[in-house]
Amino acid sequence: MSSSATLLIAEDDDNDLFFLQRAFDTAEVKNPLQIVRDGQEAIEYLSGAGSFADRIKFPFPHLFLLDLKMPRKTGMEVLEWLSEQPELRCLPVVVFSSSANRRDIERAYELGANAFVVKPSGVIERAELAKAMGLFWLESNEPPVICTDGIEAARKAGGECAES
Amino acid sequence: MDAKTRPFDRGLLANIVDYSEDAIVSKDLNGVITSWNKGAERIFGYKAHEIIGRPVSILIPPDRIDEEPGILERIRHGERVEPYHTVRRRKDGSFVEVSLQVSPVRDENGKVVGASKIARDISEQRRAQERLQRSEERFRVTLASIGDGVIATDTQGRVTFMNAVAEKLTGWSQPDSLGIPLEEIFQILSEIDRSRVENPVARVLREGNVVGLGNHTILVAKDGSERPIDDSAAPVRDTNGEIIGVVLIFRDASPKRDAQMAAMKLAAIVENSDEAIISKDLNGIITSWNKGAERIFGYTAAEAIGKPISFVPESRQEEERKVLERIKNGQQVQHYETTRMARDKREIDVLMSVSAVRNPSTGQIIGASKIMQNITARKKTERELADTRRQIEIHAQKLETEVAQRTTQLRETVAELEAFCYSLSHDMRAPVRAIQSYSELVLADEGKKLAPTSVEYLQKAISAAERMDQLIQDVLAFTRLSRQEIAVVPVDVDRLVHDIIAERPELQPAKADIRVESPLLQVRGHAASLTQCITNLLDNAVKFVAKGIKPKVRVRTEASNGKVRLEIEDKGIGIEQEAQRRLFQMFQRIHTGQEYEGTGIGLAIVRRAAERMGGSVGLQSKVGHGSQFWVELPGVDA
Repeated sequence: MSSSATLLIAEDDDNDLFFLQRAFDTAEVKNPLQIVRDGQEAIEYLSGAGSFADRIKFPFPHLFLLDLKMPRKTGMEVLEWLSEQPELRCLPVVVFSSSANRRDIERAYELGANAFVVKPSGVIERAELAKAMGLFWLESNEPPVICTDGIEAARKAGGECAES
Repeated sequence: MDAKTRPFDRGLLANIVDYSEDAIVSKDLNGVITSWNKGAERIFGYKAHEIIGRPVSILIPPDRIDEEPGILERIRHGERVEPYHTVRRRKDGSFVEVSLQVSPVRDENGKVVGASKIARDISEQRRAQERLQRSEERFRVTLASIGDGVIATDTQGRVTFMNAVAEKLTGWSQPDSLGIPLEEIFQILSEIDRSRVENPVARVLREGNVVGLGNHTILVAKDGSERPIDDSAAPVRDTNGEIIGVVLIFRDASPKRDAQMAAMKLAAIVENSDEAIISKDLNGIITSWNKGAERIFGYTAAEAIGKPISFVPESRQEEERKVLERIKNGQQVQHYETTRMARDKREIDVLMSVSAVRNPSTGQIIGASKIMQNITARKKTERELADTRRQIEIHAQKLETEVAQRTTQLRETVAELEAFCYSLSHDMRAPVRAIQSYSELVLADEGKKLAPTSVEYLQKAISAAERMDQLIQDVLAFTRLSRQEIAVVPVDVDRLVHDIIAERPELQPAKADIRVESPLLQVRGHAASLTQCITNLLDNAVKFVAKGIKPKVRVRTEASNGKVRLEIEDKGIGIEQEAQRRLFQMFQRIHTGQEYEGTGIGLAIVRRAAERMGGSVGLQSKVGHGSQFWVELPGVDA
């Protein structure tokens, strides 16, 4: 879409976060990255609650990269929460996990995830993935109203995503 | 007239004549009555003066009028007419039977001048005789129609009468038997020793008493057939008590004897039965007690009969009372199991069957019969069985509890294992990833500034991290295979193999010479698991070759017995016989890391995957010549 489209990353591991940020750098994906460090914080960010109320500072993301294994609330719990929010469940979600656990994969899709990716180990593979994601999700993909115009607009639009 | 004047008509003779009971009448040769006595008045009803001087013919009935001329003729010739029975008519017209005797009457010169008649009224005598005859006839008919055989004899023991039953039983007819000594037609033997039994008539004649034959007498009929009889003989006496004959009465005793025999047989059965068979009257007094009862309860019949033996235990009294009540009321009692007390106080389990005993003629219930089968042994076995069953149940319950506990423990272990794997995949991979990635970043950012040895160390760290990561992923793959449910469906092996080869860089024609003998046969399996198998086998096939040699691999399928064997054959280094056995086990590496990289899990995964799909794996190998690994799975047509 545009290079201003925000990417929200939920990741508790410092190393993984560092590698991911570096991968986006390497892949020259310039979009702003918003970071939350656990599931609870992710929910707060997405619902614009507390310190995340300011949508100018913390804009609604076009893509949500979600790690599964996190403290406070796990990635799966965030997905569950999302599936219960009529306005929010249109948000494209890419699950980032350390393993291709069959049960996790099925459950994640069941709860509305749009992709399931196993974290690459190598620097090069990671950079390639960051580039592919930038190309696909942030440029090729047409996001729903909520990502571009926010919750209010999504509500007015008649909730095409919601309750459909 | 003349006669009236004759002097001898008077006097004593006249007196005798006058008072005779018989009619004494005289007539002349013309048949005219000349005298008439009182007897004649009584018999014929005419007074003397009414009839003297009149013809005697007025006394003769019209149908007998011819008698008179003949009589007169004989008288004229001086002949007597011997007494004969005839009929005369009374004054009142009724007839009277008389015995008539006519004699000539002579004058002093001996000349026949008339006839005297003496007529005796025989009507009364005749009637008495008839009565007697009728009575005799009645007796005869009675005897003839009596249900028993009757034979009468005279005092000589000769047959004078036999009735139809006697004819039937002896086979002799009355006409053939009359006057014959009884023993000729009435032959009797002892049923016991077949000796001749004395003729009862002879005994009666000798002893003068009624004689009843002993039982067990057989009558031999004329045709030789034999039948048991009951009989008795009695003297026949006249009014003076003199024996004038003997009457013998006998009957066919076969039905009675048959019934007796049947009863004896039944009695024998009851007596010899293993079961206790007893009967009681309605007061509970024992009336019969067989050998079986003696054996089971220890009381002899003599001890039991006539007494209310208390072999019903205290705890069963109420039950017994109810049962007897039902029997009294004519209700049925089903078999039931109960207990009785033997003489030695042992409690005996019995299967009891109770029925009413009825008076044979009135049908009234007079007691109860009981058949008791000793089931003590059976009950003991049943109790033992029940005990055993209970113990088994307790044991089974223990086992179930144990199994449940172990299952819970196992589930916990499995859950722990799953948690361990999950954590392995996430937490252990993260640091490995970090080591690898930071090393790569240092090399990328600072590589040119570093000493060659430092570069080499970093590269070693990276390759170690890579191996570690692979190891973790293989272990995960293996445990995943063990746990997850797999659906077996037809799989296009040919396409699967070509896809795998196309995807993997080390399998490209430039690096390896892989020949697929297409088309490969389809199998029933699980695509993902089979992909893992084939990938691992192909990786191995191209990996284990001597340095500098281009791997040569052949892939083919072969069907046999509804199964398909997928063979992957290499011309590699081969595997020692010794190593082949442990090849498919976890973490078995037969080469050092320097020579050939590997985690030692690949073939374990192959085996586990094949087994999960209902197949098997194996190999043939020779060091220096190469190896042939195979996976056998169900064919699609099977």
